[in-house]
Amino acid sequence: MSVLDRPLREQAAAIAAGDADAAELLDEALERIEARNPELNAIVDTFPERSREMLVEAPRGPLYGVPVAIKDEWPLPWRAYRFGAARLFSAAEPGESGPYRALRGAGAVIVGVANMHEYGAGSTGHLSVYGAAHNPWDPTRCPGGSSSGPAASVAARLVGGAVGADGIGSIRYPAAYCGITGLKPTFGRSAMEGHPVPATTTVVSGPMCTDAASCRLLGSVLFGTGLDAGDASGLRIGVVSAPVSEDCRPEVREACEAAIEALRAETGGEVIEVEIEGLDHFQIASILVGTTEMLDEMTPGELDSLGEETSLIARGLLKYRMLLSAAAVARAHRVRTMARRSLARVFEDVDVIAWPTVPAPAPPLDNPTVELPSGPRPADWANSRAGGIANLTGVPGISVPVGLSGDGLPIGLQLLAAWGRDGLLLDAAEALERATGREHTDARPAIAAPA
Amino acid sequence: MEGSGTFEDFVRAGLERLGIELDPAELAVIQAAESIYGAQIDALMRLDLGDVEPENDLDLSRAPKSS
Repeated sequence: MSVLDRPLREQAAAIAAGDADAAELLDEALERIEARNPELNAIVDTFPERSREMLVEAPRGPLYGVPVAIKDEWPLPWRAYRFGAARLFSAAEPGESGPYRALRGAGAVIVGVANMHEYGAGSTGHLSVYGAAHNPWDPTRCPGGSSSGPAASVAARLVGGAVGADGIGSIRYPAAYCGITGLKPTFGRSAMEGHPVPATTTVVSGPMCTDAASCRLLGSVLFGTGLDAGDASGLRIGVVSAPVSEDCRPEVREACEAAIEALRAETGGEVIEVEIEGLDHFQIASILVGTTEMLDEMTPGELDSLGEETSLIARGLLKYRMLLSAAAVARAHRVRTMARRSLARVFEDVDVIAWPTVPAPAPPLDNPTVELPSGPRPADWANSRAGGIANLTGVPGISVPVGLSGDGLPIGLQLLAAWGRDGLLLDAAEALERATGREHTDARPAIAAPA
Repeated sequence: MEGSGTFEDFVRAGLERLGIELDPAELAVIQAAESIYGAQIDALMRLDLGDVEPENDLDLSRAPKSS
């Protein structure tokens, strides 16, 4: 098995130990992108000479010589971001973003820019100025969004890790759809400088890797401080009796319930039913807060000038946002306060809250709707019910692969923890990996068969 | 919003006020979005938030100071 087929953390260890040559690994990653990416459209830009320069200049940091990808959401010194869109509402110039500096300082080698959903405004990845990214498990399916390319590139083993961004679940949904591990950090803890929405109160950068240990390593680089491994023993796992847990495809619900029980058994913990006051309103509050944050960058004239180079859905949704009631947005911010207090109370009784990351496996690219017990639903609506709460409140969340559907598509379990307990989420994810013998963590699509 | 006619009028008038043109396909997207999210927004507008004390020192990286 090639070193490139191993988890990111093992790639770093192999290079540090002299068991792998960083230059050869970079060449192999570029060759693999050339071979596998045409079917996936996960990577939208490579720059081999820049990557080789990064390697030559790389310090002997914790990611020395490890190829990684970065979402098209931050500038690089040689490339402006496009945010997955044809038109932006503020100047985008090349530059040193926070995530770039963090990666460079750790000795990582950025090997490519990864695709994303247009303006970061979708959970499916089926819309992008670059064309849709495809799910490595089934290229006719959505890879998830908005961090579509990072998830697909990691699942296809083009790279061992990628930097994503999560505004209303945009790391966790594609992690679930593509069968990888994705951490949405506590708000404000990870590198963000240079992001297209500088005043955001919802978006964070975060690691997307095959396993929790690799997310811990890449996350530590993005945090600028170690996410040291701890102990998840005696884990108190909160579950809710609510649509977010129950209005799911049966196979998703069963896989997540089995994973929760496996996590309980592995940690010697307990499962506790909790009630989150106001939960029914947190989805719409997260959408109102999250989707209006970029409006300050956009004038009506700019919106009016959008042409067909911008997708019809994006044009329509941007115009819809311009009409949202200011009173509704103000109320959403008050609900944010309610949500934060509700979660703070719940986290006095439990360490994590668990429910499915997404209620159904990846839908088709040409029809991104999901069939739930409550009926057919747009995937964006269904997914935001599970993911928005973390962005609304600032708490960290993680998606961990816990099974495959009957169609062979990945299923993800989401864990949420209190503010600053990002490390605990990784501890819990590692416990779950142990409990399942890494069965789901190490599962890979056919396109990623070991070289 | 009560009835699609009223909503369509609102959309057209609102965007016209901003000087933004609207084509039929975009209107269909907006109507679809309203059909998905409108009821939840209406419920939010009816919600009694009088007991929710504002969090004046909001710091999203930390738990609220009072719960």
